[in-house]
Amino acid sequence: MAVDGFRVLADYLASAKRALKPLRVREAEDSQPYAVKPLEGAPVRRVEGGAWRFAPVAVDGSTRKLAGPHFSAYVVGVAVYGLGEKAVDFIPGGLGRRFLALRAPREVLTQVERDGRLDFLIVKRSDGAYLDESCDCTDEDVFDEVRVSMESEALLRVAERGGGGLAVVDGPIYFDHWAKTRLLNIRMAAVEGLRRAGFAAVGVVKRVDKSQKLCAQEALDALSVEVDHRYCNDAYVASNAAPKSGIYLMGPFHLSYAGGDLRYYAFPDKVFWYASVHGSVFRVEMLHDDFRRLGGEAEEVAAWLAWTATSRWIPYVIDVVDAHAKRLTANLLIALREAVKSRDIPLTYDSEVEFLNALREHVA
Amino acid sequence: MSLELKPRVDALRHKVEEKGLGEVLGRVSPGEVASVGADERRVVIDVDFETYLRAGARIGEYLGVATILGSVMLGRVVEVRRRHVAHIAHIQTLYAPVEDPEGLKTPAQLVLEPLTECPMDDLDKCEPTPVYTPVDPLSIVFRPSPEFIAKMLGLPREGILLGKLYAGGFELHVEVRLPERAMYQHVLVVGTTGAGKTVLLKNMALSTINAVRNATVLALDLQGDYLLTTLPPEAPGVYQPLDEITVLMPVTRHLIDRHREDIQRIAARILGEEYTLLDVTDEKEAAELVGRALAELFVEETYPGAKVLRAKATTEEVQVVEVRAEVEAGGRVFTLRLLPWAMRFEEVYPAIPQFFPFFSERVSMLFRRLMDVLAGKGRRDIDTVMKRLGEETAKGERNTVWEKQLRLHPSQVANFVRGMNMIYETGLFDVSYAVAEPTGQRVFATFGEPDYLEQGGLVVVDLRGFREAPSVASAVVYRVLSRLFEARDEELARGAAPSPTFIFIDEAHYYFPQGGAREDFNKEVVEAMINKLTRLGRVRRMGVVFATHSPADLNDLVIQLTNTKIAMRSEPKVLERVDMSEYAGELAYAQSGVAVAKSFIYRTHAVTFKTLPPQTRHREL
Repeated sequence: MAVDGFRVLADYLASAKRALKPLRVREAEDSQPYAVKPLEGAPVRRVEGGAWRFAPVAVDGSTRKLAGPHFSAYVVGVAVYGLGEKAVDFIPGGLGRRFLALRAPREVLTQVERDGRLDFLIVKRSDGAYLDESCDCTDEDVFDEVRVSMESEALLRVAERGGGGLAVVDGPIYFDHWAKTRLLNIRMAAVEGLRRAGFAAVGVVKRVDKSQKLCAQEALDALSVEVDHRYCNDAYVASNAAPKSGIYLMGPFHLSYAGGDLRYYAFPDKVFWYASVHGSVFRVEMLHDDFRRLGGEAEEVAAWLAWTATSRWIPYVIDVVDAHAKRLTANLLIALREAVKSRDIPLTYDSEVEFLNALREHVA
Repeated sequence: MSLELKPRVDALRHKVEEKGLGEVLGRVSPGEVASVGADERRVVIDVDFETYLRAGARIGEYLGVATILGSVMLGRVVEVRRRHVAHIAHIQTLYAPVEDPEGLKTPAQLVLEPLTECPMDDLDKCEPTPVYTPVDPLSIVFRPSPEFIAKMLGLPREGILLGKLYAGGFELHVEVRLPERAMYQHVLVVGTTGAGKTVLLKNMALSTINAVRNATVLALDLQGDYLLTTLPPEAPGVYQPLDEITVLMPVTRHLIDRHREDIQRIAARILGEEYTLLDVTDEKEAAELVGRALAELFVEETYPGAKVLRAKATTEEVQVVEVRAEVEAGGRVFTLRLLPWAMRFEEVYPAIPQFFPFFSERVSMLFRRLMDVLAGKGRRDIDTVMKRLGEETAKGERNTVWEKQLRLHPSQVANFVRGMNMIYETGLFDVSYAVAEPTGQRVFATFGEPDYLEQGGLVVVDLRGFREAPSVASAVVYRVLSRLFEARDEELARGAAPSPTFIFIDEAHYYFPQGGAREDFNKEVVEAMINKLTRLGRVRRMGVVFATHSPADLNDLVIQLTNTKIAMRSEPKVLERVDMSEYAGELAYAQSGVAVAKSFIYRTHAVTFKTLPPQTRHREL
């Protein structure tokens, strides 16, 4: 399917006459007006053993980009673990079809949009705007848009299966930036669906060096960490709050958005923990509502995710979906690159590097 | 072109289902190389977890492949690969042992060795060939129907039933037969004690009688196994127990001595208790009575609780030739044809070195002259000859007539004397039932050899009495086989097609030992007999089925001259001896009854099967 479709797409891309202007770069994160408070003393506790007691469904999206002067193709693959008859389900695959967002001149986008053989393409944002030369977006925006849509689609399939339990997502439960309210709505619809089906959604955030949730004074006090606020980030705080050997859990912390800023009115409260696995840290978060619903079990979930950390320092179920999603997008990128190159379409240096990385991952 | 492949790939599945070839299991893996080469043929198949869980996967099972190029193939699973998702994703936890059952839901990978192929559209008329065409990824893989397996393996439809095809630890509803012509090129069965050799041989004997017109199956029976083929098994089988059995019963002097009183007791019972055997004055009638008593004694010892309903003895003068008895045993009635068997020394002595493998080469060569010198013009019955032998040896080893006339070396004389003593001690020569009376010795009955031409059905040579005396058993066997061979020769000389004869020899190492295994055996005689049976037997429509648990002790010639070899559970070194080492994995711990038949007759060279359960009463070990 993909190989034939990529060839058709490459034909269109080869006919593009206009180049795209460079995209802007996203600004720093975490300028949100939130308040973080420790719950029940927020101790740092060592995680020591335990049974393999949870069987969550896990979802992760992987993204890769292939770009030339006339286009940017954003390849996204989503892996879902523990959903049904197979260990791992995918988008593209049994769970969905659209997986490739294309930014290109408008005339190319309108042409490919009409071609029924290219039904795997996404050419518009969720608000209906074309991903064309006039798109006011960053690469991350496009990726976030596609990935959140696809992950949410996968979460809805999890909700459809029913049966309740845990649904662990690689990444935050939602993006807490006012500019991503649209994505928040998409994600919250999926989370609501999960809740109706008896699932509690749990987010595991691996990249925390741009996050400053632990830099709130109350959090720092609870963790007994002193830090210059100008240079503070969560990775630093968490890794200094826990000993460097062993697995530790810090939290729970309650996060709520400042009532004064109406743009954050719709952002629901979260509860989070930080886990330190031999000094490497990740965040486990869930909606405050789910935290209350789970009661004492909530912290057990966080502890279990930490206890099952793998040699890549992340929870087992996240590692499983992450590895599968990465492998999927590596394969897709390789196939797309082959199709594009067969039409003599030039690629950027970064794309060639990305291709080589994908090849290496494919072989591994 | 590329876009046309999808309907073609999809259509394959429909074709397999439409033709009823079997249940679709999966596809040839797109993630692996499907290799069909001159040396190696390996195709990897992906089977989704649900199908795997439902349908299972087993080493050795047969699977079908419908290829993109339009062939159907039969292959055998040589490997099943299972991987947890943690392995696929190269995941290793730091502390918690992975106990995640979800991770088991990965596709099973089956590695298949393709064996034969046919064009899918010409399957009905096709004669399967080795695999010549490639197997493309995404080809459809199915669990084939028994008919498809039988067709693709090119299994013979007629012949001697060996059992049911066995694959993946299961018996399939596919019969494995050995054609009659393969039987004439001889069969060797190996397997450890309890592996099921005897059940296989007995079932084969029954099947042979059913499948081959006018067949004679001659079974050398040390344990009394074949004598039970007239009795029903515990559960009904494919074949009925035999309605008639011929038993060639060696009657030795020792047997007569041991049962002298039993014979008289039974004879008295037959006569009505008022008379005894000694009261019967008519010679013929007395011989018949001894024959009937012998038959009843045989039934008493062989079929406990059985009843002889009727019995009739046939005699020639006082020689008991045959006793025909109707026997009720095991809830059925069968006919026992008992042939008392012994040899007359005067008749057989010139041939003794050919069937008595205890004389050295030189003594064998001079045997007739030795006898001439010893007996002169006198009687040549065993007693007279032995008396003369005693007189002669009493002269001392340097003064014997053979030393003087034939210049024999003392060691050769010793070999001759030792051999003659062994011959005498067998008690097989000049046997009679005689009673000392005041007027002298009265001979009631004598015993000799039957007409070897007039046999048919199952003929059992009852060697139970010689379990501890292999030399005697061998002498009996060699004589019987020689005479049988001569009988078939006579048929051939007359221009008649020899009647098919199959000789079943269990514990063959007992009769055909390797040189080192039994030093008292003359290797030349052993090998001459094997040669006679195997090389020349083919022309005379004689086939031999040898069986042993110890092929190391079996003469090399037997291994060389048997073109079909059947191996049951065996140690690797046993399989190596019969050139079947490649089946060690399959057979080292195989269930009883499971066997690999390796034969020129099979398209795939070898077929694994499981014997039928005992088709008649079976003696448990």
